[in-house]
Amino acid sequence: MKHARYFGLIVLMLSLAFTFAGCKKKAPEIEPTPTAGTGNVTETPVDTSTPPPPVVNQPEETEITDNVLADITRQLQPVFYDYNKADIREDQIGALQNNARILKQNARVNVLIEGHCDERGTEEYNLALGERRARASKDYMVGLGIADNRINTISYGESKPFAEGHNEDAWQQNRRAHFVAIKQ
Amino acid sequence: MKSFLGFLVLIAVLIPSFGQTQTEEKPAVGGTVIGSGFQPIPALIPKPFVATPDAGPAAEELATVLGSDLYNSDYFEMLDASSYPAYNGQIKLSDYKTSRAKYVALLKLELEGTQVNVEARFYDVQSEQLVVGKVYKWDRKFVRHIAHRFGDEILYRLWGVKGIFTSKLAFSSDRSGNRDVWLMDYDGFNQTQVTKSKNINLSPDLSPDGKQVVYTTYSAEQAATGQLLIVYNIYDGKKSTLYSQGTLNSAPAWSPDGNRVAFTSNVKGNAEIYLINKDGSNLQQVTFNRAIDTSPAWNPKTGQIAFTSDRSGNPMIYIMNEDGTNEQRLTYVGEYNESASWSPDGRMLAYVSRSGINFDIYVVDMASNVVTRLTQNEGSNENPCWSPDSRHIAFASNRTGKYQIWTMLFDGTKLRQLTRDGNNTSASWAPGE
Repeated sequence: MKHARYFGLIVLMLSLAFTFAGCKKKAPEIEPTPTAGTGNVTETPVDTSTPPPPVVNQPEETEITDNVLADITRQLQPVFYDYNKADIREDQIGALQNNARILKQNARVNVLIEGHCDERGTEEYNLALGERRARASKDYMVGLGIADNRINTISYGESKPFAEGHNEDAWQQNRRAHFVAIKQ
Repeated sequence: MKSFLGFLVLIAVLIPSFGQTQTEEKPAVGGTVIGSGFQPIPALIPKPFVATPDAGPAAEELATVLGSDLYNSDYFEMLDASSYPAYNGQIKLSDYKTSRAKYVALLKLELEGTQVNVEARFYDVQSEQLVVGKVYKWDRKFVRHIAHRFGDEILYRLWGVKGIFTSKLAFSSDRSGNRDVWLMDYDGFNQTQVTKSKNINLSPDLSPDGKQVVYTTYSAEQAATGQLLIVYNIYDGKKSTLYSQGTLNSAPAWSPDGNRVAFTSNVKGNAEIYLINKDGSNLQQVTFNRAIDTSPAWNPKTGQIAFTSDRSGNPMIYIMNEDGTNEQRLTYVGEYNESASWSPDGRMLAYVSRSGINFDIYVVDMASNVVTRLTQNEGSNENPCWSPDSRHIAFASNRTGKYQIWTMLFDGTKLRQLTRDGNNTSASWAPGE
């Protein structure tokens, strides 16, 4: 990946040099060259005395890729719940504040909140309970200033456990709202 | 051969296809209700008469499956046939009058290429009255099904009971590596996968005529993921989306007339119970409570809907009219009651109640309010559902490790394990053909 990125920069600089060598009258608009393997092309101003430096006035532009989404998802924290409850526990508010901050910093992604339950309920009731947990987290995030339409919810009930055990250690891991960054 | 046909009360020629048409006369039926004090009736299946030597294996299969069906029904006690004369093609009921058998099944088979020809007769031994006689001509591979059909006919002629041995169960299994909807015969044979998507497929419910199954799946698109209700026609394989608004669309249940589906949706925010026509029209909200309301189950006789709500603080069973009026709490004992299922005769309601970390199955007699616990100390027992004759209950139990579908009688006896591969849950039981 790194080599590809450097290669991309070199190609970009060479192409700039050739472009300016051929046309001195006007600084052209430069499109970043998409590079295979990364969606992450950063423009670097070219430091040359002759020909004069071009005026590059472009916004910072980053392609939303699965890598970026995965990076953001890693920064989002799960919210845990008490048994058969969907109330937001006081000790989980920090996780929700963190997640709201991440979403504000990354205004161009949305979030999917998955509601999960431990194995002790019935499948159908747990689907409704997981939905209620996801919605409780969503409501809290909306309260922290995240737009309602940036948050989707889904319930998996007990069908996708994070921990496989049949004890309280596993169960408390599985009573959660799991946050996933998704495209807008 | 032709002279035998004259003895038969009814003749049915079966076309070898799954969705076959048939012409059978249905006689008037006494309609005796089989109550809980019923004692199984002794019956006998002498060794069948094999008219062509190569029909031996088919004859053995036919007799075995029929005997197993009659035994499983708990209507009959099957006597050991080895101490009585084999059927030699001559109907001689005096051979069996020394036995305790009230009824005797005389079976004759011949093979004609890949086709098997069966003459099946069921006699009252003492009166020598023919209860039912049938000729079946079908592909050899459908011998099990011939036995099931003849067994169903016996129960129907004797007591007006319909659709036990040809009935089917839909269930959810993870054996393919994915949660899919499967179908099987009532005895666990012919297990068939009916969904093959990569998404989770849950909570199948067979329509009262056994022809369609409605289930919950997840849309594939992550950015707009949500649960969908799908209706799958098991005879033509066609699938259609019944409902896709909101992200929670769970616990579907057919109405007794098969024209509507009750289900749980969050389309307006909170999980509430809705009704919808089977063509997707006329969505109607019937619960309006800030609590979770889910798992609707329709009473086939009264049209009432039983459901689960945690409005008291814990999940409990409630009953309401199908328009949402007259809500009443049914269960008060225990801290977690769920998964209501009405017997098709409308008299009994099965549900699960948790004891410790496991669920057990209970049945309440709606007339007397007497509650009977049917499982105990055998793992977790969930998702009860009634057989079409209101005599059996299918359920999922993890007593052997993974969750498997089992059946038992309405009094908790006569346990049978139907599945063995992977985890299998959420059985739904309906008549077949």
